[in-house]
Amino acid sequence: MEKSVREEAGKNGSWKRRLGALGLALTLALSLAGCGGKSGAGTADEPSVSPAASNAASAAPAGSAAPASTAPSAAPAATDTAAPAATVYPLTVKDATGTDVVLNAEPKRIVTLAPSETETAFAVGAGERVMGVDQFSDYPKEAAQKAKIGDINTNVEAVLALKPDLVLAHNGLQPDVIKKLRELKVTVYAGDPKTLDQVIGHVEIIGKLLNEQVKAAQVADKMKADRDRIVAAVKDAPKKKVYLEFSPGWSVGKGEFLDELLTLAGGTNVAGDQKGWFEINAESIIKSNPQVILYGTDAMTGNTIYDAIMKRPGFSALAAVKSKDIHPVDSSLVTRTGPRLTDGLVEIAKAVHPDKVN
Amino acid sequence: MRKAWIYGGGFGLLLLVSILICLSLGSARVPLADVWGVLLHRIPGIGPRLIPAPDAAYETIVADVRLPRVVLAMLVGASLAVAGAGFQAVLRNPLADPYTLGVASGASAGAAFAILSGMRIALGLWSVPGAAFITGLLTLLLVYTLAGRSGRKKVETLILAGVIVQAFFGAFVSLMISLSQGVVNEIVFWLMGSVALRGWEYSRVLLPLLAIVLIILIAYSRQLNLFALGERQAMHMGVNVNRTKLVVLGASTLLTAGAVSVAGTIGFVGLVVPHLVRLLAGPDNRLLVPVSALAGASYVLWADTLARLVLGAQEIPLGVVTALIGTPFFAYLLLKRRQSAEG
Repeated sequence: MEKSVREEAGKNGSWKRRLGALGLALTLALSLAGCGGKSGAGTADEPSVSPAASNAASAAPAGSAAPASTAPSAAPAATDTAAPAATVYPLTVKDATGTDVVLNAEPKRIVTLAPSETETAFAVGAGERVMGVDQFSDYPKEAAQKAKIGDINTNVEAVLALKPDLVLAHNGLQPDVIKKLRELKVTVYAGDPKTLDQVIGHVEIIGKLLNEQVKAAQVADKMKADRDRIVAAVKDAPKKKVYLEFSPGWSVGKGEFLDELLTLAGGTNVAGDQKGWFEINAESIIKSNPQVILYGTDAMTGNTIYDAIMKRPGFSALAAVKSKDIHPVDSSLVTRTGPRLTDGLVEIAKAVHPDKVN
Repeated sequence: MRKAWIYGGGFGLLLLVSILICLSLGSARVPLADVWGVLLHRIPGIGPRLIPAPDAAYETIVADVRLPRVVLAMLVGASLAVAGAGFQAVLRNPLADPYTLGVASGASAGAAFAILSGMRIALGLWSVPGAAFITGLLTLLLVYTLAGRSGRKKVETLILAGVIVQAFFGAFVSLMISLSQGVVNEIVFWLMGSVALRGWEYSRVLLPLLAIVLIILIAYSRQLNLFALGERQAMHMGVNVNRTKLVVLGASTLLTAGAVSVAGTIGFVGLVVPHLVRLLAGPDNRLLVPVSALAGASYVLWADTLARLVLGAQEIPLGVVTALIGTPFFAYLLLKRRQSAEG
């Protein structure tokens, strides 16, 4: 059926918020609360110490007051100077749900529940060990050949049938699936990076979990190099006003990856006063008169957003439309919290400052 | 017909005032003088001589964004209210509304399919409204077929067939929603209705449809009045019951499908507005149908103005507003009427 998923933590949070409006909020809240409570109890009796390279996330005291979701992803960024080494098992790492994930040996059968995790596992060189992926994992090409374990509503039975020794999940997308799998004694590591730096850290952590630290460090270094290159290139360029539309009629404000990437790429989001994903109001967009428009494309939407923008009443008066500064950006690059996020950054920077970035 | 003048004039005036106010309001704060400067400037012929060219940004906002939206909101409101009046008169059922015969769920199924299948890439922006319109009409055919051979349809059978078809297409839409994966679930939002971000072409499609159906319903309003006595009595009074039923239901469905395909499913207007008008102006369809058009137009116009104002730079789905405001208001009217009847 439909081929692409534009997924990532914050976005999905927003999507779920909308669903919440339809009456599912309670269910969600309960399942989240359940997760939190459980993990809190679990950390008490297991002092989390990883034998090999020190990992700030796992070394954090159990029951630390720091919000669990940011700790694991943020921490490894600090370890990037340490020389990557072979991972020593057993290994304990605290994940985004605050749970201490214990790996007794190198994982040989990995299942990924989100495209971002699939891409990360493949990028760090563990693609051969991936036994199953979610239905929207379409990158790299080999991922599409793997067994499918359902869409965002993971088919738990299909996961179990693959006998995974590690499941990589995204906490922002699937809190209840993660909880269910853990009840069934499946080892799940759930990431939930919220910023580009945390995504880079997440890649390093996955590399460590999968004993692919050298490759993971290379990927992380490339991502950092891309980030630094873009930031340096646009440093002195005037900030351009940019309007983002990655879902027809919707834009995105603070707290989302798109907004962060755009800011890094030397643009100012005209919807920066909003938070998360929201249905646009044409008047506000026209009044803010963006100089550049970026719109999302993927296999399913094609150029429909572009067509819609061009036909929309009043939009022809925008500076961006007059100067034809309307650029497509591959949705999967900028919305998946995986190793290609910096490729998305480069794409955005090229569109916003074509004279500075190549 | 003094009553006609009072209510027709009253609601007409209300609509006129509503247009003036709603055009002046928006999330972009355009000074009132400029709003009207833009509009006067746009009057063909004398406009440019009357008023100097206004600020370009203001002109875009008022003339290209607000004006088509206000007009479309009115047309959609009028269409749904008129269709609702038609359905209520023929089906003699207080719960009848434009969606009773499953038109909305049929149209939704078509729209959901068009959104999910990526038809838009091949066929362009009109594929969603087009699919909605076609499936909406097909639904009516299906309901009619289910209800039995033409000429022998009982009202109850029709409504029942409508309920069945609605349930089926409702399930189909749910399936489409569960299959779709996106940040923002487009189907869900289509279902909640909106007149935002649409240009004049949508109004141009709906206006002739509304005009034709309005004329048909007014022409049949005398027969519809006799329907209130029951079909048998109406037949005795010389009404061609079956033809009236077919024409009025068909015309109302056509109009509903048109409104739904351009704006999504906007609930409650078609149910409440005719009732409201009936409470005020009485059950005479000759008055009820045109006044419902005026009242429906004002109602959706205000609902849409709230939809675009309340959250500032964000929008609220129009269908949500119409139901959120309409329901308590309707409940209040019912209570008040009951009290006056009892007291």
